[in-house]
Amino acid sequence: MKITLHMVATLTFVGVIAGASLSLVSGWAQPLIDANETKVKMAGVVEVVPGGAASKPVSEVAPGPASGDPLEAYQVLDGQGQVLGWAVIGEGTGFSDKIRLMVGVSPDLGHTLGIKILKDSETPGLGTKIREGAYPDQFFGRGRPAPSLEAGPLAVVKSAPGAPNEVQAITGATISSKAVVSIVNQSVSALRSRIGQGEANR
Amino acid sequence: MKGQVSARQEILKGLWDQNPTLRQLLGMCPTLAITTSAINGVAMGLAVIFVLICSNLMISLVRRLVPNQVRIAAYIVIIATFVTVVDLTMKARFPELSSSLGAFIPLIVVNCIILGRAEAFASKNGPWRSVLDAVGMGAGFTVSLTFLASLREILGNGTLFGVTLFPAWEPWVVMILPAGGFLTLGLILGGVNLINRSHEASRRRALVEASRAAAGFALPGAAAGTPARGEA
Repeated sequence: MKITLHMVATLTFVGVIAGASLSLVSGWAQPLIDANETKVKMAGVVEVVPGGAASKPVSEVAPGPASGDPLEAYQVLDGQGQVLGWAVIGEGTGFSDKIRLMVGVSPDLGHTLGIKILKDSETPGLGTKIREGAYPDQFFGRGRPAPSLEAGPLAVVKSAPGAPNEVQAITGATISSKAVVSIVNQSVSALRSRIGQGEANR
Repeated sequence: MKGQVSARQEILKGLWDQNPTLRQLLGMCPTLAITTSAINGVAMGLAVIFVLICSNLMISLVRRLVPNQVRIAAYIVIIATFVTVVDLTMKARFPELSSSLGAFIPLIVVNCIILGRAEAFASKNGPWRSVLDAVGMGAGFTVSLTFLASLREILGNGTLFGVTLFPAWEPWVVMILPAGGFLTLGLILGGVNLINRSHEASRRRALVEASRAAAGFALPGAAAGTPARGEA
């Protein structure tokens, strides 16, 4: 009986001390962690819409549901308050886990302006080429005009793209390339229907 | 055992003789998973050193107060607390490093090296020696991981700590993939065993010759006539 009491008391004591010290550390760290996440996101917003200086959430432009808004998008403005485009955050299944990305779109949703991968677990050296290099450069319109969203959703091709809505896949990482394009398509169509709704309500 | 081992030996044993990664083969999971770039190896190693020192010290201090039946439970709670501190600190201060190490920082809780040293050393020795042990073991882990990660980064990416070494190098992507981790680790383990075996052999040969000389065993002509048998 005495040993049982001793065991319970020891574990309780260890647990209480551990919990108390962790709540202290967490109280210090959590605001910093949140600030880091916001900073990464805001840097991305300005990155995917080149020349962007400020941004405001889509809910201020085209209100959605009051709570649990599934669409995370920002209208990006330059220093003079001119609308440069949109930055939409989307998520979908990649090769090994979820890919989370931000895509920049022109104000009329006619073509892409840029892309940034926020989170992925793709294969190092293959699928991770979605982060930088020739593949994302296509969305920025480097080398050839940025893929057009006017004729319908983007499509992935394995050879040099011919049609204006085509994106060339990464050699050896077709699944990752297709995943990115399908997330971009979903995000753009979600934004399109929201803005369309906003205009109809007005 | 106490008293005979100097403080210096307590630290040095973790670097070579009892190296946790290369001799005890503990903590293989982070060793294979995160060694895709040298900076990851260093960061993982430093995180483990911190957790190891704190947990060894704490466990050594409470070793007489914790009843034997619940010692593992108590150790795990203590270890998990320090790991969470490291995880939160890295997320707050070094977000990029934290995202590249991913789940492997929280998984230090179940790293066999930490619980292994708690159970095998800190629960039986005083605080000062436990800290020395933790420093040695942690340094051994860090050096091994950094070495492994440097090889993989150089061959698989042509860079070291992110600095391009060979601009014309066509990277061997396989070295960054899991297969490259197994290959590199296997070759390093083989190399370490080879070095240890040749040390052992030459030490034994020296011993045999010394005892022969002492016993006046050196028969005339024997050295030239019979083949050396010390190798076996």
